[in-house]
Amino acid sequence: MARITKGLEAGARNDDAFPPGHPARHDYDPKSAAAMEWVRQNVHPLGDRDFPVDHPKAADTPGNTNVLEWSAGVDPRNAHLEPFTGRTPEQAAGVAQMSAIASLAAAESPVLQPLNAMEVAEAMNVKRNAVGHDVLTADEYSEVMAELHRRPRPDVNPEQIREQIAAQHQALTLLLTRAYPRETALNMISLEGAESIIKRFSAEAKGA
Amino acid sequence: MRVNTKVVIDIGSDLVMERESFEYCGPVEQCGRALEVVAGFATNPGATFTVLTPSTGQSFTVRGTDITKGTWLLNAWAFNAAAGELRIRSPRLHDFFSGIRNRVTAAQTAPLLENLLNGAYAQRLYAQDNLTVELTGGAAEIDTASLLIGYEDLGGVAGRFCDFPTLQKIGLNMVTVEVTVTAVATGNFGGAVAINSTIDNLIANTDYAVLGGMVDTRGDTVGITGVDFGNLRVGFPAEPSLRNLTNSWFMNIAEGFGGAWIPVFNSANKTQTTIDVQTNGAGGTYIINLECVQLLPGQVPGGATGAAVQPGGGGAPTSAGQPH
Repeated sequence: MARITKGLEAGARNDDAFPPGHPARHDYDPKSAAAMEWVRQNVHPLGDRDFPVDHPKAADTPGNTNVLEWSAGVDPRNAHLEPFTGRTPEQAAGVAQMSAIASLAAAESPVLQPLNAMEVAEAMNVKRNAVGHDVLTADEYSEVMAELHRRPRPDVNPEQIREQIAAQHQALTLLLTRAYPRETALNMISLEGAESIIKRFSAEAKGA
Repeated sequence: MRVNTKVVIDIGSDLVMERESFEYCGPVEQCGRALEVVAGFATNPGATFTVLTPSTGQSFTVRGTDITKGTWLLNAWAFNAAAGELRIRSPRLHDFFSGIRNRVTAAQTAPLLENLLNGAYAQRLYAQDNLTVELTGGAAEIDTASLLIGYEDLGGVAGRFCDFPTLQKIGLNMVTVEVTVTAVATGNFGGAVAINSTIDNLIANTDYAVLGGMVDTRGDTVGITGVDFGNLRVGFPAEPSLRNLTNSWFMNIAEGFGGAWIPVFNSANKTQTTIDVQTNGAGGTYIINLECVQLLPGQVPGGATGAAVQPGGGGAPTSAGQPH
């Protein structure tokens, strides 16, 4: 604009006063390619632009990357590649086939008997002292584990546990209905015992 | 508990030549703490809520024999090929009508109860309660889901865990355990490999905390089982697009709930510490990175005594701690 103003002030009437396609240019033809290009570059009917015309991030620049969706693991410029691995479809198909064969051959994990890690550690340490070195061999380690698994486990009477839990839930319900906070109620059951609480509150209810 | 501060070992004979130690009487987690991921699957559930079949050897009945012991549903997630709903209910919880019911988006194994990064709230569970866990999803696929249950005191079973402040205090060096697991296509856990099966770089008789892990392929759950965890399976979602969440999974749980939920294992048990995967009918091969931290010896109960120091390769005991 400064250049145009300067030209006008100097009374210049040559072609350089206005760029090709400028409406004030002496050979202005609104349908000419130059005029259309000037309008494209300079007329913005929707208001200020965020990026200049032809900027790679401008929404009207052909080939801009604004509309690309950047999903996790996917290169949008190479969307045909397998997510996360970047394998070509052929490679991915090959790996999937190999993986499917391997999955058929794979074994389900064994079911293990839950145990107490402290007991294991104690048994291992006893073994270390017994053999006189700290890093147990595979055989020594297996001996300890086998011995642990051979130990008789305490008998559990499912009926007794069911009764105990039913009593605890009954005591908890009694306490909750009397507006005791849950943690307090559970602490009371733990300290006093469910049966005692049931007895006490039942007696109170009868007394009332 | 005796804490070693200096142990000199004859590498040739493995004999301890010199030892300095002291009796530690500080606060430690001594109760039978345990963490278990319980997974299940539904075959062709479609739009009908289908009760999950627990993975082999697992059950949705809460362990324990005493309801006063803290038992918590720490999180839950599902892996559906088609979008569905995961419903967890029990008469002992809020209601048996709808309970905890969340939409499962297709092909993303994301936590459904909380994100664990901005605090967390756990649902209390009760011993021997039989949770009803159901899933909807696709009509021609196996859909899977998992619950992560924490036990503050599980009688007869105990694992080794530490909390976040303890980790910061006694952590020495980060180390990654990488394994390759080939999952089975039945909806059960499978393909178990030892933690040292690919790279055997753990220092002998040394404690390691498992902060979390990452996978390169989507599945339902990565399980880690070992004698140090009471032979129960701890686990995290097998989601490759949420690596920032899963790589600090247990640490986030410990921090979010303010408790000792970071599993600790001793490298003496490395052959008995296994990693497996549970996924849908597609199976798959998984490369798993477990983010571990080597710990100062003797700090977490149940560790090895004897040569329980890090000879070389690690920082000296005085290097434990974090920037401040």
